Amino acid sequence: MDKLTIKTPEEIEIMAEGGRKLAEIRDEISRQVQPGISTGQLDTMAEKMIIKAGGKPSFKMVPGYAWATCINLNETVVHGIPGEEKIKKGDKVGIDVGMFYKGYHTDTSVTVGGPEKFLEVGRLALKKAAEQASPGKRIMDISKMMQETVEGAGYSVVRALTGHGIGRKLHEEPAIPCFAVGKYEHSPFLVSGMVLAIEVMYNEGAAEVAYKNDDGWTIVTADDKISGLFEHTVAVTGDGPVVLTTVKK
Amino acid sequence: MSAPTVFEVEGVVLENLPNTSFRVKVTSSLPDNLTDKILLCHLAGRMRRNWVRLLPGDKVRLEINSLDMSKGRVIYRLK
Repeated sequence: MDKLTIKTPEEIEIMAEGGRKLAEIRDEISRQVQPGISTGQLDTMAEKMIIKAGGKPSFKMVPGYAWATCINLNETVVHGIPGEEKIKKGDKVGIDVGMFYKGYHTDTSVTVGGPEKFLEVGRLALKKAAEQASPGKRIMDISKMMQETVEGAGYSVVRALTGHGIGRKLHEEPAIPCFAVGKYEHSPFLVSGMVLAIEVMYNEGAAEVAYKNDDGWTIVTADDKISGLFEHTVAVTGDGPVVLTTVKK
Repeated sequence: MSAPTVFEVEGVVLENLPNTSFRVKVTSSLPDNLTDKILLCHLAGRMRRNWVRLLPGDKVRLEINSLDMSKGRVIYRLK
């Protein structure tokens, strides 16, 4: 069990710089999404942009994963492997990308192309969850906010997967579930200097997920309905939450 | 399933108390709500086993649980 890592303001500043660059890449990739383009092409584009920005693709540093991004089509929840598959009109396309920049990881994702009502819920849930990330609150405050927003709209949150702390390693403690689990009193407090990758993972249908095939990565919804993923890297500071993976400064 | 909730900070020993307890002032700049706070700390078992003695003025590394930030655990005596 690793300890929580506390980052100094200087470290957070470096992560913010990486986060801004990554956010630009994320937005650019999501603009490139159009019918006919293959997920592999999007991945190649993202990798080129990350290297051009002076970083390294975080996901390539995950043992066994050889791509810069995860592209999640329709029923894919997370870890969709980019490949030959072409995007069709009306497909929901989730883009999950991470960059290792000056020694620190940042991680973000966005979903485009699905039904607007469905996407709006995810955006709202992430926004509300990120607002909870201030010192004195608990991890469960974030989780509860995501669950309430998503379930309030009639969708379900994925229980098998979580958000995570982020820093020198892509995945750090603590885990941030999208739903409230355990006793509120036992949930860790947020302290300033923590940096969290808050991920909202939600399904149009039931919460159950399953491995799609034997590639060992791709996770899809059990009932083949679409799934959304929105993620930001958020720093907990004395002045409240700071979303690092955002373009505007 | 318990989430790991501990993190490390540095501090300076102010006072030795009975039962290998100490009052320690936090010197780390982060997390900011802890800076200059005075915590009641005990000596980690590994340090007690190795007869590490602390005196007022010693710089130490503390482990703090986010669930109770009024207490600490001294895990290292810094040079």
